[in-house]
Amino acid sequence: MLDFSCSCSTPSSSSNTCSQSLGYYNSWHFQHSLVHFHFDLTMELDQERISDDSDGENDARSHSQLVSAITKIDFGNKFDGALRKDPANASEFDQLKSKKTKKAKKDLTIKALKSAKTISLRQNQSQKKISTVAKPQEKIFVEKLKRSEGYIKVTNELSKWDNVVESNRVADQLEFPAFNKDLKVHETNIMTSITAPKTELEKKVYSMLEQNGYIAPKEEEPQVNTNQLTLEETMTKRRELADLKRKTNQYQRKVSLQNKIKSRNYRRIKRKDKMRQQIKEFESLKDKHPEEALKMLEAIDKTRVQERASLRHKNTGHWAKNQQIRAKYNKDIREVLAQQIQLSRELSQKVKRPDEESTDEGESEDEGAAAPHPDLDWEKEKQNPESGADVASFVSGYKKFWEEKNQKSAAKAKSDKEEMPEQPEAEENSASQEKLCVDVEEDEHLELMEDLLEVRKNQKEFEKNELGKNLRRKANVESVSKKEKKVKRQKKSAAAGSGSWLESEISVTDLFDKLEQKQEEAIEMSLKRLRSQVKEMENKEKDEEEADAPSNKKKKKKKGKNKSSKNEPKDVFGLKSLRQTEREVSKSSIENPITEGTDKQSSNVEKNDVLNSKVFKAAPNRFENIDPTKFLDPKPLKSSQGELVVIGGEDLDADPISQDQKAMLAELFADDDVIDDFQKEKQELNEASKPKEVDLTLPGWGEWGGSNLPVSTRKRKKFILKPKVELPRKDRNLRNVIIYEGKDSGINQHQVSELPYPFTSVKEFEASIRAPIGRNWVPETAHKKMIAPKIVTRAGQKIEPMTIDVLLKEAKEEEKMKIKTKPK
Amino acid sequence: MRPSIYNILLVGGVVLLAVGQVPASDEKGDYSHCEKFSGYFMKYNVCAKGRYLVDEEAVKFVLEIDNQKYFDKHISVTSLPGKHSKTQIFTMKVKMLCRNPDQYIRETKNDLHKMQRNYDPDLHPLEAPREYKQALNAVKLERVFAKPFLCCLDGHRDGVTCVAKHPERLSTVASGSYNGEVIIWNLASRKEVARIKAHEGSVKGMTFDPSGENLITCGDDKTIKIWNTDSDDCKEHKASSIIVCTNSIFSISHSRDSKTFVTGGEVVQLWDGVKVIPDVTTHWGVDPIHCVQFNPVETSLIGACSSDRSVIIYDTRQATPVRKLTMKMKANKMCWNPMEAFNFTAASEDYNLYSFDCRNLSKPLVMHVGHTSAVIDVDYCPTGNEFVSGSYDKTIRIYESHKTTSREVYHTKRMQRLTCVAYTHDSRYIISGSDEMNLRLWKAIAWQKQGVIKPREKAALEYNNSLKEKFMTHPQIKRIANHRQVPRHIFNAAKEHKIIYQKIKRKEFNRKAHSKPGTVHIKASKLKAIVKEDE
Repeated sequence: MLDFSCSCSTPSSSSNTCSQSLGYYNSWHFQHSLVHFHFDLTMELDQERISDDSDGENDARSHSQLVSAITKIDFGNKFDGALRKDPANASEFDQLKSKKTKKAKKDLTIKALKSAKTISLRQNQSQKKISTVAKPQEKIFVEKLKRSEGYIKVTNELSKWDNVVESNRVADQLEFPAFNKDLKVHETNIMTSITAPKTELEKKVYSMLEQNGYIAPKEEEPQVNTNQLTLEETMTKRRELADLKRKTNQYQRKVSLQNKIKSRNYRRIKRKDKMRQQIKEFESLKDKHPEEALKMLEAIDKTRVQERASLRHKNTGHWAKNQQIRAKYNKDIREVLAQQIQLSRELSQKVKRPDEESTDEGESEDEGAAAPHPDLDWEKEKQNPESGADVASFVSGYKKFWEEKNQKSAAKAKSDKEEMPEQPEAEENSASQEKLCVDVEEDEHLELMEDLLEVRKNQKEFEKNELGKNLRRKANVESVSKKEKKVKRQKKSAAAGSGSWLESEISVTDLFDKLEQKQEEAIEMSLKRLRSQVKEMENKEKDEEEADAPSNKKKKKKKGKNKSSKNEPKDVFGLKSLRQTEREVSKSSIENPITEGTDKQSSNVEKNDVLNSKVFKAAPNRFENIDPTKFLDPKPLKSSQGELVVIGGEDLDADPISQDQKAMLAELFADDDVIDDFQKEKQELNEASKPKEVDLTLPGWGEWGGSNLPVSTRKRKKFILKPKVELPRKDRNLRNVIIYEGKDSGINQHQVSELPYPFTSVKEFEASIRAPIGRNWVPETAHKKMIAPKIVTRAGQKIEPMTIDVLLKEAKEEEKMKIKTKPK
Repeated sequence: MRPSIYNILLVGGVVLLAVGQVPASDEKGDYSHCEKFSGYFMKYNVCAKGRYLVDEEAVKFVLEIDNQKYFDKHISVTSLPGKHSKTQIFTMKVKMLCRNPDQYIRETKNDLHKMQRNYDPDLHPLEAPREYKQALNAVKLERVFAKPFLCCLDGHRDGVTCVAKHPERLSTVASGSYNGEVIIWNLASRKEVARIKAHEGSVKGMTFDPSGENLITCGDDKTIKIWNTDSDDCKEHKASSIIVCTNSIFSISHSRDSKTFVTGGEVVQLWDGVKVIPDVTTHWGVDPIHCVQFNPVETSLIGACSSDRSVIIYDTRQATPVRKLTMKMKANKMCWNPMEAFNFTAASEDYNLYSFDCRNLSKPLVMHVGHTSAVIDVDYCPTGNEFVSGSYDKTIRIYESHKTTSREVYHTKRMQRLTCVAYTHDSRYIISGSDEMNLRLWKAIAWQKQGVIKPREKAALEYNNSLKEKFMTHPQIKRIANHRQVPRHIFNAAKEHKIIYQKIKRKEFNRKAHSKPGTVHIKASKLKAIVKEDE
């Protein structure tokens, strides 16, 4: 009857099925099975009680049965085999178990045959109530499970650092300890709150200071907060602002348009308005400030006069307009109008003094040098432009001025070296100056001579004539040659310049012609004068001679003859022993006035030029040995970013004296003969590189005759090694190049033999090496970036290990990135 | 009397040659007469030894200019002397490489000199060779300045066993010795601050708590002692608390962020700072643990080295070990990377160090070779990119954490077997303790200049460093940079090890060559060190 279904599944099956079974499960299972067993027992007893309820005296019997059943229970055998099992499912382990189980199985089958119904019912019941319970795990397995589970947890947790570690590994630069980038900027109100008194003492002090006026009491500024304005208010404000802007713009436009008006009528009206305004002001000023009023009056008058002057005889007045209408039909009136125009033209023409023409042109070129002299103004006013006769007197008044001016121009000429077009003018300048100077000197001399000597009338005619002829001839020749020179120069400059010069050339040549004529005239004039002077002087001399001793007379005659034979006007002055100073002055002024065309006072450059030329004429033998091909042409450096500009000094070749300079250079560097050295070097290399025969013959060896015999053909064939024919040198046709064809063994040890790790091609690696990082080759910022160290640490600061904050920061940044990248 | 050139002035590209009698006393000469030509003038004391020819009308100079680089070799006389009573001044036009002084003359003395550059690469055809030369010089200088040894701290009466860095103060370091003494040092003054008779027998392990107030030591006498280093008690050898344990303790490590510390001995025990009884006692296997290390980043992890050749990882939250790795040879010490939570390096008895990712213990990341004897101690640089190791072969080596070979080897004649090494918290110095009772202080970068470095110097050093890096693949530079003078015994041992290694390789190759293809698999040498990974 009694059935202990509290069976336990085999340990093997439990371990297979229940992976989660842990140690403490086993004990629980045992307790559970006990309870179960008790429950089953009472259930069955109840059933029996129900079935046999009719007989009441059965109580005692049933009790005894229960007791016996309980006593029959063997707690020690609780794991003994399953009582009932499907034979098909029975494991081999069960088969091998005790006989007891076999017997029980038999009983079970018999019972099952007897009442299948009850059995099936019971089976159902038992299946409902009993679940399979695992056998307690062995400790090692349990621990192993626990560990592996823990390890998985740990690895998962550690993986959260992956990103940070990875980013740190690839970072260009790591800073330790990490620099805190969340810097705060203190606003002013925070700062003031900091400085505001806080403690009581501070407050007291503060209030006292405030009372005494040491501190300005705090003014609470009305806070204008745009955020607090309503929409309407802001709109009106904006409208107002826009209106204001529009108005200002309008006004500006109006004013600018008014300024552009070209109408004469409008302008006249305007002017009149202005005049009226000024008059009004003048009226008002008259009483208050009479002095200022006077000034104003002057100003008004001046403007009026100017206006009048500008409009004079322009046929713009009322009368003229009326006449114009009539002029159509009246010839007389037409003539009158024409006269008017003529007059206006005459009046408006610039007034020029004819005597100043030549100098003015020179002056107009160099405006800076020819500043208006204060003395000149009043003199100009005085001077009648028509009176060209007494030039000398005019000039004598300006001697000082001229000297100053010449000095200035000389200085300027010295500084400026591109005076090709200016030079002739400068010369003209000087020529005119000479003339003037001559006049001055002559005048002085005449006076002196008059004082010293008496006039002599009887003079030898042939001498006179000769002198005059010579002088004339010479002057003509010189002037012609000079003219030619000038023309040549002009052409030269024109050729050097662009086409625009051609026009000016013509005008300039014309100008020159004119100047030539004038000069000639001046020369003739001076010649005349000289002639007369000579006459006078000779007359005087004669007189003197007559007075003095005859020996003296002879000497002087001789002198005069000698000098006249030299045909130089200077000799005229050399005849007489004048005062030393005067003599010098005259010398300097008239020293070869025609031949050289220059003066000491004129441009220094010219003189230098002359001197230079002299120098090279004087020492020509020095340059004879210099080969012009032997110094290198300085070629400008060319680069991809444009021409390299050499600062400091003008272009040597552009100078007219470049040839001279080249020659000079050649002399300066006569010692270092670069090209010759190079050629020598090249030749030596060429010789050295030529393959040579190797002679291995031993004299006398293998021969009977002795040592001085010629080498036998056999030996020659065998022991004189002929070199292999090599390719000719690559630089054989290149004049200025040496190509080293052999390998430089010294460089081998510096060369990389294997491609280093991160590079995949030699090209890449070479490019990386070629890219410079120094500040000589890359800009400073790039350089700094490139040399930035990978790890930056600060001395004396502890570097903390990584903390969880890093992860939090990264998460935040990621979020930010997400927000940024999100499409709207 | 012939005039002589006594100086040359370059005035904006024009040479003024002052010719006259040289005043004997005044070497520089009188330039006052030159000033009228120009407001300023640069002075080049170029030459006074020119050949000169004096004519009546012309003067020509043939100059032998020393400093020819300033000139373009185009010198000519453009104008000739005027008649001066005392001196004659000639201007010479010199076509030279001249610049506007405004571009390079600094305004004040404190300014840097302006440097005008033309970066056009066509103008610098030899930039790479020039940089190479600079790199070569830099690397040579590096070797010249490589003087890593700073000082020796002597005071122990027995060999040093362990060092502990103060977590807050960079200059404070504690060291324990075999005779049970602990000395607290001030590195800046190189003096001992306190000397404590801490234990009977040797001091096995030491650690500071995160605040740095307490020093926790453990020793042979089965006690854990906590010393308050700030008070005077420790000087009187009074520990603030003593924990007596039932088993011996060989190692101790404190968590970075809590009061917990861990001890390793016969068992691994987790202690709360206050309690006398351990919170957790756990162990895996029977062999004693001689090294425990708290992970500084992931503070629940503990790494331990056991005498059964294993490295064990513990998790404090589960209070259990999680994984064990058995190696061929014992790991003497392990150290976590302070910037990479999952990486650690183990110093092995087989002369090598092995870096692991603790998520994949069966495959070491890198095998660091170089030592010629057992590696005793290892400590990571706080930046995490380097570590230092001390070996039984009497050398200290510094490795980059991802490289096989060491970048530096330190040794001195007097330094014996290393017992402990430590990287200071500022990553600048290395402390080493050795058998012969001394603590030594080294520079982490051998050639680094001590003290304040001015910005320009710093920039120059940085440039040199990057040049070295750029050209490190070039044989000459590599050779100079990697060359180290080592003691003979190390040199010989290294040679021997190389032979042994070659022998092994040869044998492997031969075996593979003479057996059926596919049957012999050659393991990488770093994998050979691993026996098994236990779950």
